[in-house]
Amino acid sequence: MAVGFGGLSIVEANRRLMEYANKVVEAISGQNGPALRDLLAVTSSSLVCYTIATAMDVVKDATRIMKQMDKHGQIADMLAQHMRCMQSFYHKHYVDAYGALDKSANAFLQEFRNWETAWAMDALYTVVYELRTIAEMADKEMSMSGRVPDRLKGAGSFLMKVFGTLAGKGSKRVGALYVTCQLFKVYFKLGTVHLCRSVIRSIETARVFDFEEFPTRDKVTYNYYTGRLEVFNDNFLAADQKLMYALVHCATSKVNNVRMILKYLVPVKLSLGILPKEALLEKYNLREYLDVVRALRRGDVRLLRHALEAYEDEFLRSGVYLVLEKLELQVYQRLMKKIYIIQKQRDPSKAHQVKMDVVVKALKWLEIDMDIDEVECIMAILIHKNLMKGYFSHKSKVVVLSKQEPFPRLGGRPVNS
Amino acid sequence: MYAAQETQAHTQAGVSGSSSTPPVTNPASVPDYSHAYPGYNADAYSYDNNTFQNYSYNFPQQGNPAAPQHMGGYDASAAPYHSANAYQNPSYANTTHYQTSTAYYSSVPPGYQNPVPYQHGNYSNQWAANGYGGYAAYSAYQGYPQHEANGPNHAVNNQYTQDYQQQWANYYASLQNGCKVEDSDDCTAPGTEPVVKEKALPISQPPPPGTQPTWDLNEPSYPDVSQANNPIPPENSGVFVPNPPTGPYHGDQYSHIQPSHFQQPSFYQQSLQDQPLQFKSSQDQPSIVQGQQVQTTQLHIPGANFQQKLYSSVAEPVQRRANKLQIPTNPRIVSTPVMNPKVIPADTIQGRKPAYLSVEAKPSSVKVSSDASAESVLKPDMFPPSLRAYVERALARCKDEGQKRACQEIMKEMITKASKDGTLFTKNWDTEPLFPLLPVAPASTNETVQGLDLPCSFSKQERSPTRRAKSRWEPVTDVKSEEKLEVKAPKDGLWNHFRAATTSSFSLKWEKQDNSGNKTKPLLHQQLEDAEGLKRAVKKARKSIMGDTQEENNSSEESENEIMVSGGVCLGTITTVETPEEKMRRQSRTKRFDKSKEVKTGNKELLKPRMSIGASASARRATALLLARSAGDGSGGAVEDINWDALTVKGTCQEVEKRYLRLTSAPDPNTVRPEEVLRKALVMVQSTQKNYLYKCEQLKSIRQDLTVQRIRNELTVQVYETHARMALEAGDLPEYNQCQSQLKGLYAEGIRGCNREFVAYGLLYIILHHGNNRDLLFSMARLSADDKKDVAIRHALAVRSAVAAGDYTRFFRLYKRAPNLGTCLMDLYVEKMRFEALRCMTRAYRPILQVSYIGRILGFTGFGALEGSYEKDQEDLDECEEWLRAHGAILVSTESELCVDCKASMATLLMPEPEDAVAHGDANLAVNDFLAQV
Repeated sequence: MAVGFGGLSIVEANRRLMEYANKVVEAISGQNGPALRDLLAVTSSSLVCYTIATAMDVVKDATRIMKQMDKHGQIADMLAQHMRCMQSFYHKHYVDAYGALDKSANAFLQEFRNWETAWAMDALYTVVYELRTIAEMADKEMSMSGRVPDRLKGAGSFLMKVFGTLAGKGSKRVGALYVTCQLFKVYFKLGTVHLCRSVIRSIETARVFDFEEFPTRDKVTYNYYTGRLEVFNDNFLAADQKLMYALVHCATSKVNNVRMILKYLVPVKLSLGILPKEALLEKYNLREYLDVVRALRRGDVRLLRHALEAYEDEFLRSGVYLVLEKLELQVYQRLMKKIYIIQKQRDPSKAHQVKMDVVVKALKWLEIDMDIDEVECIMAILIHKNLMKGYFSHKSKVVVLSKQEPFPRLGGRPVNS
Repeated sequence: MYAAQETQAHTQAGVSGSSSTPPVTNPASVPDYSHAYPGYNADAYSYDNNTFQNYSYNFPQQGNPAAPQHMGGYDASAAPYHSANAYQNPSYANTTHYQTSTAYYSSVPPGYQNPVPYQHGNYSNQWAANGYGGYAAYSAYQGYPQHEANGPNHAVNNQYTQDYQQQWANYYASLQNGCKVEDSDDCTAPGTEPVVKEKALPISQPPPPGTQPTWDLNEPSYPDVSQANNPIPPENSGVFVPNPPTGPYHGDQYSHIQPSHFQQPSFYQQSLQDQPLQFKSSQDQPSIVQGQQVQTTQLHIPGANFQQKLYSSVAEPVQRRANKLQIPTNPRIVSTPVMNPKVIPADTIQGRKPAYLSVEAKPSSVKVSSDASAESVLKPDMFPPSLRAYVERALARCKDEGQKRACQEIMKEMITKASKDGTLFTKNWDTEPLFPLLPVAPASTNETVQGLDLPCSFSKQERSPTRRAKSRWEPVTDVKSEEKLEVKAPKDGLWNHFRAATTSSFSLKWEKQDNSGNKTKPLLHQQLEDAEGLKRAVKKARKSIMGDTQEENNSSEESENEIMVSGGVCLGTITTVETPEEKMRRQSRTKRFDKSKEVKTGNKELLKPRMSIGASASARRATALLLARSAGDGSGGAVEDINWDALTVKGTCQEVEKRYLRLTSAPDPNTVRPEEVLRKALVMVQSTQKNYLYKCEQLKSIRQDLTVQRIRNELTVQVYETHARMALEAGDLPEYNQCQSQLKGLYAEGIRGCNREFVAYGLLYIILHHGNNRDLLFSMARLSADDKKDVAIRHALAVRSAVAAGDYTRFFRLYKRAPNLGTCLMDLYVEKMRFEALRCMTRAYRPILQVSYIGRILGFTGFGALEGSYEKDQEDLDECEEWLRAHGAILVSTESELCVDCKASMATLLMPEPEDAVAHGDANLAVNDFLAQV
């Protein structure tokens, strides 16, 4: 008996491959979605992958085995590619793995289209997920070897194809949101966020299927990504709404997911004038926001600037830098409020008149060097943006605050007047 | 007209080894024969005799007065024709014909031919296969995808070379398609057609038992072939007329072939042995060389036979007619007077040689009609199919001979140029724009008419195109064939040997081959001897002609070269001095000619166009111009398909100043300035006093020259930086953007320049005009810590935060002390910022706000280093006041100074329409400037 590598005999290897193929065929003919899902998993199922990969190492020509299943032509082709993918993946040849999986996935999609019910949705999810994941790995491998990574892009267009298959009427539409989320992941990773728009439009405008009927998991993910998109667009109210939806529906056990949502939700809330408790930030390890929140509480412009400087790279990467930067006005507002309160304690009758000298002195104390013109400008902006009620007298260099609620709370309202 | 077809046929053969398969051409011509074609007649005339006339229209391909010994072969091939012409005529045996022909030449024994004919036919068939096989091989070498149209043929050919069995199978498979298609195509392109027919023939036959096809196998096929061809004739009528008279080429071919006539059988073997292995085993190296020669011979042989047949028919007109269904209906043919006795067949033959070489032997293609003429332009061995298609397209537009000829001329030059540039294969011929057609040249048509009327002039005229072609093309052809050979037998390196041996050692080689057990041995000998005799006769005839033509040849060559050069120069907007490059090119060209002379013993060189110079000199000048344009800039097509490596040019223009003209095709080196000149040009632009439009154009032309020469270095960066700065100064954002994006790429390649200055500009641009948060974040994330220490970048970042906060005070402070040209970029945002600020102020300040304060804060005043210069400030204040009024602010005068009534102004603020708005949207593009430019 010929013995292959790793002590696995050819006969045994053949038997394993055949067994695997038979299981797949069985799952398909029995319309057993979960079973098929487990069988098709590559990255997430190390056992199957290992079994197939080792067997494939011994058996040189898997297509021959697959040919034995004549009646399942399409499936046989798909499986041959899929097993090759598992083998390549096992050996960490991700580019090869992606190539094989791409073929396999296309064949699978072809089959999937022919199945009338959505029984194989789980399996499709798996295929889509694996394709995206391995494409990312392949891209990493390619850029390491100096090539231009384009596999994830290719995966993106395949996902669009899948989306097209699912987006119509019928039971398969349930899966559309999952594919959409996978597409979001691809686009966000590639930085081609603008491509999301068409998918979003198709999800939100087509009323064939109520959004609420999608699986919660997908709804959370979808809202997370669309919320992020709104953050980019400075559309804080919409972002808040979407991210809140995601946060509320996200399983609390998925700490990391909650953290990811909070990472965007916190700046959004801050810009709406809602400050989180420090405990929350501690709990979800969002320490980068701690100083920002403190600065807002204290009216400490310096602290805010330091915080932004310290985490600049991170904020820039996640895209919240510009959001946080705009908090500076709120900090100034807080500072003015503090001054006002202090003045009030000293002399309630003159509290509503704040002299510029005082403000400049306060800023100097914060080690922020601003001349009177700049401070005047800030005051004007505060008034203009309705963060401070009152008026400015240029001649006497005095801010005259309104007697009622001189510092209106944002309370969930965006800053811009 | 017909001549073109002939040449095509020859050229087709030429692909495989410069030999054309006679039978191939014959079948194609079959349909044509039924209808007498004037063009064909011309050929016949040129060949020799009055007697030809009768047959001439019948057999266009046989224009060559071929060796009589091949008559048998000819007859065999002719048989299908006859049948085609007269379907009822089943007789293939042309004994009578043969005898007449022998009588004519008196060199061929009458008995000899009769048994042979079928064999010849077979030869031709296999020939074709071989030839194509070779072609296919070439294409394979060069890595060209086979042309779609040629698909079937190529496939067959390949198969053939590799496996005879396969070939047969293919033949069968292709029978239906090929036959049908070709039939329909026949009408259009006779030259290519024949090949198809040839293929068709074998189809009907049973496949050969062995890998080596034997003559016997093919024999039965003849009748089938003729039948297959038969349906065609009616459709073919009139097809040939449009073709330019390329007839003279026959002569050329013939001369080539002459030495090799004897080796027909050997050629056959050779063809079989296209595979390198076979070469070694069955043949010695010289034989390979022979193979080439033989191939050519074979091609001619059928032609020769044809002619003989013609002769014979002349001799016995009655019998001839019996065979033919149709008697010449073409009035021209009938009316054609006696041929010029002076012209000896050999003569014509020789004169024509170059043409066939230049033609590409291609199997039937979809566009058969133009194929024939296309092939006369394309050399067989190495052209991408797309080029062929291009040539066909170009020729398809021609309405008459003159045009077609001009077309061919143009395209020849294009192709030479392209091959010289190395762009022959890189160019996307599919998208290449066609050059404009010359108007129908009356001169040429006159010529033809004359030729018909007057035998003498006719013969000249016939020759003229050939000669012309030769004068320019022969050398090229030679080179090509050389390359071809090398491709074929790269290992042997026999070419030189071949050259030396071709003329002298053929018989010896043949002997060898015979020894190798070829059963055709006796036949070969016979043929060899006959060919020898013929060759001698031809040589004599040639000599007599050569005397007169020699002088003219030289002069014509000269003039043509000049025309070419001048054409290239004229194209540019700048007249160029003759540059060293141009000289070198000329030299190399001359050298090429020399080489060809050596090889060809000068006879072809001597035969040069007399008429062409005089008659069509002007036309040629025009074509040269056209050519220069189309070849010079002519790489149009989709930019993404262009291989810029191949198109990279080395400029030779010495002019510092150059107008910008957007390229629509490949650049002409004559109009491209080399780097040193560009350097000067940059300095010139930087120091010129002229306006921005002038500078912009000059810079664009510099950029263009840099691009086409693929110069990417500090100079490139400088040019783009200069242009970007000037564009900023002029507020020309589109141009600035182009430069900026180019600079980004250049910096990314590590070329040093004022990187940070332009990074800062980039940031400012995004902040102030782009407004995309994601882009801004991306750009900021890319900044290194060192970058952030840079003055300009720090400034840009400060501007960004000021804009984000709406902090107008800071913004205008930054505006005042912007490094470099940051002010220019910020200028474009100032208006918006001021208005926002004014809105903010009117809302925040009560009750009034001093105009002087506004002027200071909003950057109207306080610019000059002399802060105290009162007058300046006053001017600025007036400007500020004007601005405020224009924007709806309500001004009130207090005791000391002018103020804005904030509360009242709040409701009245407005953003006025920009005064300098222009309909075309770009105020910088002043019409007067533009007109001044034009």
